[in-house]
Amino acid sequence: MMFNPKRRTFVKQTFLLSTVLIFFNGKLFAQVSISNDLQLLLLDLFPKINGVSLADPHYFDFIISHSKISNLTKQTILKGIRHLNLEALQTYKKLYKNLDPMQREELILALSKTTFGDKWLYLIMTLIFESAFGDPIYGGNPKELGWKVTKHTSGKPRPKELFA
Amino acid sequence: MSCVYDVCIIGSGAGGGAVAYSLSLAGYSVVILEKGGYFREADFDKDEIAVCRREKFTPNLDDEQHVIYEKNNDEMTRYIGSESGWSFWNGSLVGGSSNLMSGFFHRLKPNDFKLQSTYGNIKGANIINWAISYDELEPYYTKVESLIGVSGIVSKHPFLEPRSTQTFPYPPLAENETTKWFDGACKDLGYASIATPRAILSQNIPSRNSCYYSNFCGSYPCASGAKGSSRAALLQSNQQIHIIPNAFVYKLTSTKNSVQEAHYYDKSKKSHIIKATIFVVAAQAIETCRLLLNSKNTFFPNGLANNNNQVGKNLIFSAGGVGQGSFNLSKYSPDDQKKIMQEGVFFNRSLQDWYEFQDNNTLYKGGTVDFLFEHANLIPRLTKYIYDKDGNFTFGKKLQEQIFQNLNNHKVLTFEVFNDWLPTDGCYIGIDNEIKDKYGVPVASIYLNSHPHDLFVGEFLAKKSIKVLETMGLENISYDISSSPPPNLVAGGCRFSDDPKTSVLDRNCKAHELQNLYVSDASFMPTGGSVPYTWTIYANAFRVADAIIASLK
Repeated sequence: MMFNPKRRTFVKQTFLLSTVLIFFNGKLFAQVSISNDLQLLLLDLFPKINGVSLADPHYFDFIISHSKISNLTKQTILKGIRHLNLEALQTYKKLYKNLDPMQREELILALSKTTFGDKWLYLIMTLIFESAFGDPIYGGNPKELGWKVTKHTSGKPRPKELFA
Repeated sequence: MSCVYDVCIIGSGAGGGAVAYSLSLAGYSVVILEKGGYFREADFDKDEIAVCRREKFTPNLDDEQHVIYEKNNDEMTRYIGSESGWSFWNGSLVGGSSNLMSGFFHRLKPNDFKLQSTYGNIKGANIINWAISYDELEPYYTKVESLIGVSGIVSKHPFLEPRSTQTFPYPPLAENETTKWFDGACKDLGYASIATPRAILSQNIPSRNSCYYSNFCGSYPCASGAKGSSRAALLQSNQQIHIIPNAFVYKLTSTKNSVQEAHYYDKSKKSHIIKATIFVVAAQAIETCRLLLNSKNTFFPNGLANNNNQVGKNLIFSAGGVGQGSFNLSKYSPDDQKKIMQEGVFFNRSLQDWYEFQDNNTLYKGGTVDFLFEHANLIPRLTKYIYDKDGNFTFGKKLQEQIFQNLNNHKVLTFEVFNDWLPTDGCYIGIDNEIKDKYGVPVASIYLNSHPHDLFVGEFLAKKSIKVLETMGLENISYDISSSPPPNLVAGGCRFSDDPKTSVLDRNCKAHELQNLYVSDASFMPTGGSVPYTWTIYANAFRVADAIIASLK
């Protein structure tokens, strides 16, 4: 499938600019930005290397609109964002984005001890790896830094277009 | 299409391609209906995200799936493919999954053709002898060596099968220097190290280029044409074969005696009909059985060629498992580190010392162990570190430290164990009553059951194999033998035999109940032997092609 920049831009806008409604104690508590939470989580799970973020948050847009990602997986990604904030509210009375780094770390650890949280975090981490260490054509792995730090040599030929 | 072809073949993998090639060469009109798309070498790349993470060459599970029933401790669990992510698709493209194979090529041994009479019955297993002998298949194994292209040297060992030629037609592929360390370890242990034959060209030939050592071979289609896929070796340069890609065959119609038409949907779900004198099904075991079972009619109310209720029965996989050990680079000299880290070239070593073995005065059928470097795909090598050794989720700087310390200082040598998955009543293909695919066609149900004997043999082979890794001085040695079925090593479901009551196909892989229906994929295999199947599928399909040619004369 040929890469269509116009279509990709549209998808980015529809997903990254979207929000998740957080209901807490039976009331609408907040609207959280998926983009903000994912960017923060991405760096919590896999911090910058030499000042560079290897993964691209826009990769999640790509995944959400991908023809080969199941609807169930797409729903799981979104459900996890909501779950992350609910856990943050229950534990710290704050949304995830308002926690300090130590609290976020503790929250991720606590989440990883639950069945859904563990499954979701594993999914997010593998998607981060895909972006950070996949071919740069997908938007991450800037200047092939992910390959350099892992001494990885990519296979040839390299992809000329995205598979979406 | 108003014309009537001599032969209509459903599926273009090893089983379909070999029949198409032979029939076309003999002057017959041949059409292939292939479910997947038609890609050429120029279309292939080594994009890990597309090919391996997104499984570019298999259907979307939301559109096409299987329902899997797994029996554990007498409890049956139902898994819906799209919900569980459990996929039994292997390669939907012209050339089928032969495009994606690693090409570890081993022949079956003479005793594999007579498992029942050599090793006896095993309670709970439906073991029978094959309808043919090794001697009948040997000329076709040889034919595959030259036509598909097998490279290597013939290693002498106790279970080397009889050969009509002394050597392989192509010299060995370039090997990693550490194979010498493996050979030394085997010598110390009294094992016979085998240079693994590969279905990969080590030299250019007129229509195909040799291996270019991309380091990304198994799971990826080959961009040079070196890998002996059905597409590269048999179909791509043959203009006489009419290949219709993106053609999903959903029904075969028949009279009491013969198949009349193949009905298929194209990409836009428009239905088409193909008429032919002979029909050959080679859609891989699960989908072959599904097509026959879904093709019910007045004469065959239980599915085509299924009046004895044998279609789908005795499904088998390759039993066994995997093991590994790692080279700790800090323990080697700079020169040796370079040898270990040399990329692209192959490891190519196998053991068959225990293809048959004695234990407590009982003779057992054993198997094959292939050794190879861990796949070069980066993402699975990283995800190993998401959990620490105590099973805790790891992230942040701690995860990065684990990755960089381990990944950059170790190289993993793995092994794969292949032994018989004994056929049982509990392992078979049916049709699901609820789930349909995007075309509205009922999907296959896969009923899984493994015999405890399989695990016993696998364990025996793995324990022998890790001794080599220990002797080589590797670290972190482990193995895992399980009853989990490898979806890319599937066979049976339409077993062949001279007894129509207990089989679907006769010795020529023609349906007992129909005059013009053949099955030429691995479905015919009543037992699987203890090697990867592809060489045997190719060889048998060339044999079936000769039988069809004889019937058309």
